[in-house]
Amino acid sequence: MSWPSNYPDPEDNDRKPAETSAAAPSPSGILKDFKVGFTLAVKNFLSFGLAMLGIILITILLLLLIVLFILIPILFTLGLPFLIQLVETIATGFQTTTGLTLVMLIMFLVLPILGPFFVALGAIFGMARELVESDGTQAESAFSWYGKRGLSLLGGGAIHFLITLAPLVIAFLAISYPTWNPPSDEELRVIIPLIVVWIILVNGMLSLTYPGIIDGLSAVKAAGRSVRLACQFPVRVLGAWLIITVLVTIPLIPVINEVAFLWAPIIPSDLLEPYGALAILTLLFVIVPAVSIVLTRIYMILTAKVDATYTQGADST
Amino acid sequence: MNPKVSHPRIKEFEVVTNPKIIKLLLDGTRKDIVFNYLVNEPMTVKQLSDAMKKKPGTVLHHVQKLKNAGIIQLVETRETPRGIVERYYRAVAREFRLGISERMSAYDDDTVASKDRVRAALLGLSTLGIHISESDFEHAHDLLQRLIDREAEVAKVYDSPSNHAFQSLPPSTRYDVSYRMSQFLLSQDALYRKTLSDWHDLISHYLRKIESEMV
Repeated sequence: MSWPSNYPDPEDNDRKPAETSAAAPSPSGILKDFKVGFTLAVKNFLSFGLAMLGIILITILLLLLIVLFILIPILFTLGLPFLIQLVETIATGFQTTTGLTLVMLIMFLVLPILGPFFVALGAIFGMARELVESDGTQAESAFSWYGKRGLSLLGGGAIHFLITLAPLVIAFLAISYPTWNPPSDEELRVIIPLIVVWIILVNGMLSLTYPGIIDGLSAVKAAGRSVRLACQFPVRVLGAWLIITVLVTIPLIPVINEVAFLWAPIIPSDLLEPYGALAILTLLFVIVPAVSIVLTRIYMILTAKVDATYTQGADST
Repeated sequence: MNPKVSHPRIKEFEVVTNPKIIKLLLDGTRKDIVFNYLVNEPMTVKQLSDAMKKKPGTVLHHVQKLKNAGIIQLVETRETPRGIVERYYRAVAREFRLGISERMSAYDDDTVASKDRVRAALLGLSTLGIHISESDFEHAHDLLQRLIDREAEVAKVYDSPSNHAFQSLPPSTRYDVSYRMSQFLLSQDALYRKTLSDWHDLISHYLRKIESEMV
């Protein structure tokens, strides 16, 4: 125990007190995040472009490897007739299975296929981290993240996927057990917006998982930290995530609006094909790198504030 | 290099006892990051990569490993006008001392025999009170390596597998013959004598230091 001092330590004027709360969040911080994100993404377009091409190639190869990893042992041990029978059984299974079994079957088949995409996205976040922290990156450095953080990135993607789908699985079970009882149109009017809100909110809360994994955390710890940061700084994290959702959705609306929303065509049908290609290329080569830079930057600034190492007031959040 | 970055107080020395962390520090790049740069002042990944002429990604990878091991810490985060978020890292202590038993257990016998016998021998000197400092370590390593290399070359002269008469001697006799013969051959080698003299000077320096500390 010590006596309170009448002579407190002099204030250190060089060091601005670290902000550890979301007391003064302002939109200008988010706007700067996006300005910096898009500026760096465009300046490093070549590096990101080459990396993205390589990553797409590796993802295709990994998918082929996964398929071969499953098919070749079956072919050599059980033969082609068994394989054909297996495909037929799975196809029949999809038609006859309902409830939890069907959901599990779909997730079991989909997760390994999504795996390479999760790691590929993580590699882009690795490049973004190099860029945000050291103002430089190279296309080949994307591939080094496959080896360094590949498994954790896979785990991070799986966490996103499973948490996003969890309520949908529960809802599906609720309407399918004990008897198939689909929701009415009125119920769907409530359910669908709720699902959209859930998907946006959960992925927003988990949006800093990948930057956390790149920072050296395990997938679970990174997800936990992302949720904590989103709770402490909701305007910065969820605000940025809403903008990202809009940025990703808007270019795709003319392509998917007829199927998804049953709207009238926004652009003429003969322009739809070139527009779709252009939208996807923009998404892959500009928006995804920019978004990864934005989220990495937000993660680095917010963790510095939490750890009380952020000392410069250039950022206004 | 970074006059604007505040220099937080750091410990004078840290005793490292975890063999995994010791192994981590034995890596060349990580050793340079800690002992050449971050013990002196806080630096960013970019500054380190520029100074070491290595890719930022490579340096970042090593920095993260050192940070997770608790050898270095994040001391400051600053944002540049261009929006780059600079993280300044610094070693947690000015000097790192390794616990003797832990130092030796960082090597298993096979590793010592095949990989880094010289480094293990230098660390083993700690058991005799001779703690080679980080600044002398590379020099000492170089000297001892040269001595061992030359001794191995000289041994090949007489210790030939095809010399069945020599190989059939009892081990203790063979050792005595080898020892005397190598002593003679090495005494004729001027370069070896010079290296040995440098090595003796280095050891003498540490022995004198021990004596003065005892006084």
